Amino acid sequence: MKIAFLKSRMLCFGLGLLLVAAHSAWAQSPVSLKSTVETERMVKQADGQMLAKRSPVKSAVPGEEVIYTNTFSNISTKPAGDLVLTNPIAKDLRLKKAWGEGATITYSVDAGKTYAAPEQLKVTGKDGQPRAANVDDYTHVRWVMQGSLAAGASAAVGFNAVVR
Amino acid sequence: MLRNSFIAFQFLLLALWAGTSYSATPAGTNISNQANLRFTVQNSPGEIQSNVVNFTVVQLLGVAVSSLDATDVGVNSPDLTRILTFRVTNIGNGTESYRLSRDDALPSDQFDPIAPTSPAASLYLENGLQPGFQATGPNADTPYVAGSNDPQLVAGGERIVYLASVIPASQVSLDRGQSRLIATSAQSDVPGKVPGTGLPALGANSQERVVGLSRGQADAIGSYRVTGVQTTLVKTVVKVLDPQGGSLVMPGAVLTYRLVGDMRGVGTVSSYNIIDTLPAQVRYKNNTLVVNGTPQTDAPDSDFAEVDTSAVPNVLRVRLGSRSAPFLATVEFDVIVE
Repeated sequence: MKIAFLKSRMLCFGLGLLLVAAHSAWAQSPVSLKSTVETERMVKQADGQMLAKRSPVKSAVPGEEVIYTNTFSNISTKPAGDLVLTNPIAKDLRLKKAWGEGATITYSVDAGKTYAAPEQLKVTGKDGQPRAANVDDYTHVRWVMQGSLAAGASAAVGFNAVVR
Repeated sequence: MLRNSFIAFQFLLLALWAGTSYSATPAGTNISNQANLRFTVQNSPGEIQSNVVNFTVVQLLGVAVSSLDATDVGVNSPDLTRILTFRVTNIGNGTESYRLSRDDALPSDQFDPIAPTSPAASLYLENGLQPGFQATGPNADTPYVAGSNDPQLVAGGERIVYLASVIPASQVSLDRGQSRLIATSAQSDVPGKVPGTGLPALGANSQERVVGLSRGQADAIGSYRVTGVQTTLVKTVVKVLDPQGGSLVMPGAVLTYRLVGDMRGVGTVSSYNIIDTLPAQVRYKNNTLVVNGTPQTDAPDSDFAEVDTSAVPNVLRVRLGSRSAPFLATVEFDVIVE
């Protein structure tokens, strides 16, 4: 009886550990996402060559270009698919270019409600008539990744923008 | 934190910005970013947010000065207080004050405009009450006193500045005198610094300040030009034909007079008239009047000239109307010696 009681308690304890472990595994996303913002400056090397060097940006002046990089990693043991990353463009930034290998890049001019290729984007002009959108109208960028991200793999997309 | 390491390609961006718009992001603006990712793992959809990244827009110092006079300002020599008009613009992204000064000793002109001593001010700030320079009256513009009322401009803000000068005597028409208006950041640590230099003292919204392409100062040149029209009229006898075929001035001799009116300088004369009252000893010979090579009738009609032969002595009038310098009028006619 005593042994049975102990077995029962051990079983409960074991189940508890399993539940905690399961909860932890469920709470941690199988995919991680990290953003950085950097500037790129030309630095003179000892041999006189100029080399582009990126560094995190804490401050910038109007006209300065900044580079946003979004790095996502599959930290699970299974492939991750249907990867769609979106990034708003701050109103004080002017998009210069968006980039991402293996991604279909589209843009939004309506605060992220809809996305389309640049040539398909329209906005309402000051005269009330629709006109082709330009880069100043963009509010969001979206990357739709082709294929899946293998377990343990990482990829990065991002955009360059100029401080207005 | 000093930012001494700006390099060429960033200057290019700054130049692009400086040339396109003054509506720069205000100093102190925090620019924040967070990305979103949706995915599927083992048929289970998920969505995560990235970390938030931020940076702050610091103050970029910049000033521009432009002359608003489309052409040289016409003056006389000498002349009293004459005005050149400039605009000072804060092309940075934070509030900044500017010290104003003038330089009249430019090598590219014929005379130096003189800063007036009475009234004491030689620079004035437009007070916004009435466009254009007002020296006196209820809308009189504000005399500028360096260090006392240095114009403080918000980002993109501008102020009209008037530069007053006295024009020296003895200048001839078309002489030019130039003055330069200089606007310098009133903060002494700015002027002359290399673009991109970070400054230790904080600026607008307590932000770091970075020297822009203008290096904290800018200037523009305005010009005065002596205008007015100088006219001369020279009368000569160009030919004498006496009754015997000689050239002696005697009764019956025909004299050919030539009047040359020379109008020089810059400007327009609205009624350019030549009136010649002939000597009492001669009378006009009918139908000999020629203006700039074109024969004129003697009667008062639609052509340029007429001769009043009923008057004693005769009076010749040539009415050339509105003429702009330079203009040359040559009038020839004959008279008979009585």
